[in-house]
Amino acid sequence: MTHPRRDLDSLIHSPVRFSVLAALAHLESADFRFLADLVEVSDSSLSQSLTALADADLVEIRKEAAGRRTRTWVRITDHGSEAFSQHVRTLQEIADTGAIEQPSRTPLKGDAS
Amino acid sequence: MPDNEMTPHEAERQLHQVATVAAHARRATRWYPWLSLAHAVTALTYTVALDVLGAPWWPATGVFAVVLALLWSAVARNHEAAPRHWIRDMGISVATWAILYFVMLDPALQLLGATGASWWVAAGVVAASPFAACAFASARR
Repeated sequence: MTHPRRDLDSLIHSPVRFSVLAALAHLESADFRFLADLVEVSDSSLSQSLTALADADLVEIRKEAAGRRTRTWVRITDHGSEAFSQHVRTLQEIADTGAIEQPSRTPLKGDAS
Repeated sequence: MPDNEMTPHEAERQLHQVATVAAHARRATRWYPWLSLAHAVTALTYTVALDVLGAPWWPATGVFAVVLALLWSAVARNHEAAPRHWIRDMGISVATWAILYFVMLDPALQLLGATGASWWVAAGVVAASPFAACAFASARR
């Protein structure tokens, strides 16, 4: 039996990409500026992360004209949603292995407490 | 991935991070229940204007349409994040309101000769209830 950590998705595992997908998993879509502020990264860093996610068909990026400026909207794809859910399940399995290996401590006989 | 990179403690930390980010993301969609509530109020006001106060149909409908257009314009300009399936849910609410009001309640009350204001206010409340239900459901997410 292999350890669950081998099922972790290396693309999603990056902190920025992971946080982006965590936000998008609960939304229909999100503005680029909102994501940058939420994840607390620079525009270029977020742009690189979104490009990597889009290339893997985990997110879709849409640009929309809004008056004089252009707004960039991001949404998670069905594939991205499934991949993220699987990644979270794997993390939960790993966290659970820690709970199995470290059972709750019970007081020894004779302890004052 | 190197074998020693993901410990149970690190996994728990990342799971906590997911919950935190998700909570912040959902907070940005708080405008949606208010939009639904605004639709409910606008729809009820429209009913009262037409059927209780006797406003002429075209001007009342025109004002109704302008108010909705302003609401949606404000949403389109200012929202940063949208809740899942918001367009679908709002579309269902609008369609249900239209069917309840124009197809069921309005003809039924006219057929019954119900002229009292309380009847029409009650009908307006019932017809606008899909918007209120939408606001309630989305506020609980």
